[in-house]
Amino acid sequence: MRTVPYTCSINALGTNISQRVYGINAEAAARQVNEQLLRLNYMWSPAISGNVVDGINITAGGPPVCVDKDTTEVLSRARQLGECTNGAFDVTIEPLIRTWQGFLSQGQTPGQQDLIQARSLVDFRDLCIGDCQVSLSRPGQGINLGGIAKGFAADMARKIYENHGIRYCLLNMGGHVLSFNTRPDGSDWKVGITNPFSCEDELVGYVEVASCSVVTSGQYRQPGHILDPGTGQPADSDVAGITIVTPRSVDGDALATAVIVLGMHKGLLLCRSLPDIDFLAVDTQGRVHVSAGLASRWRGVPGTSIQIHQ
Amino acid sequence: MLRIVWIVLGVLFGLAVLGFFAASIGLKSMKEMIINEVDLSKLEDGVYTGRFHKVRWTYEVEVTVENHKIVEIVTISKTDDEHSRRVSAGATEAIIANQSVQIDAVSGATVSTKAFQKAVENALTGTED
Repeated sequence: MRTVPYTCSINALGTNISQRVYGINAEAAARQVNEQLLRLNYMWSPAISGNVVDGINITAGGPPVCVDKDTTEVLSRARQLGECTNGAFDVTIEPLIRTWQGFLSQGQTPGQQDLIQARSLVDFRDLCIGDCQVSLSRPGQGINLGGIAKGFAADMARKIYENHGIRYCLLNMGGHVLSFNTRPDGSDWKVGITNPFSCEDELVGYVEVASCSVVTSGQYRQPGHILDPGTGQPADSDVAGITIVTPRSVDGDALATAVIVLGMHKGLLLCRSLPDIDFLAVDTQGRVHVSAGLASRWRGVPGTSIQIHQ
Repeated sequence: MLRIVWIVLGVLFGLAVLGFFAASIGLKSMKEMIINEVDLSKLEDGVYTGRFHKVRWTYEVEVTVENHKIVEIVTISKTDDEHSRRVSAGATEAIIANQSVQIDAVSGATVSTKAFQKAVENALTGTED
């Protein structure tokens, strides 16, 4: 068994993605994962005109367009996540993003009327998904897969590792880290969680994980990048940072977004109502809240105390 | 000591409270931006000033190089912004002390730190922003 991992990294889905793969077919698996990441990047990037997402958006209010299986799958799941988060995560957020983009590029911010207008176009229920056919009900609507693409990619990567008989692996997409099985020596992978109040190199602690995704999102490190579909403004809740730990990678990113929008109370209630979801949340007062399932797998930096939620 | 000073009007946008949105403006290119390694062996001792500005991230720094090593980085900013200050302080320590954490991966990305690192790189390479 190879004890030296095959490692590589590429830029895709808006971030640097690196892999550390152990196993006889490590290189083959890693290459296939990279190919798929680049394919998803091309299809779903908000910045490539004429791609799949663009095709769906420009025909909003018109007839359905034919799309591939992966796009159908990710949009179906996105729609379901819209339901279960009560719209806190909404894949049809594009009109709001465009509005903010437009104003900020002029050095201004959108006014109340502009936001009301844009918000009225945001509704995941207007996303109609058929058999590889997708449409948006009203003109001006649009989808943005930024909040779910990495989760989908992680699930896809996991299947590729399985198909290649990979033994151990770590896929690092920045905010989203996928652990495949354990470390080669059988111990759990150690994944650090960034301190939401400070910069990159400061951690609040780490979690010991195997076979799951660790997804972290925060308000302060990328201020304003999560919009509240309800107000149209950047999310401004009492959640400084949230980490979701789950074997269901595709749900991780969306739930992290939803928790930031919903705030500590509703956000953690949501997490606790769903199966297979563990969390670590840091509120704006700096208090750390951990789900019961994660408490034993968590190691905080000295001095951190946690509140455990059953 | 050779002092290279650029006239910069550093406007620190401030990642302040409301009205800031980061979803796509600049964010994509920020995330893809590469921080280049600077060859310090070619640099004379001195204090280098540089800045990095992109949309709403602006950092202005003074980098002191002695014996081909970065010994100090001072953030110069015209507007006191708490978040930026916090980022600058942490990022400064990371660059000098080169902290290493014995973990396999870190979950949680930052963009602001990159802007700061780019300012340092610009200072040392003499790149006008």
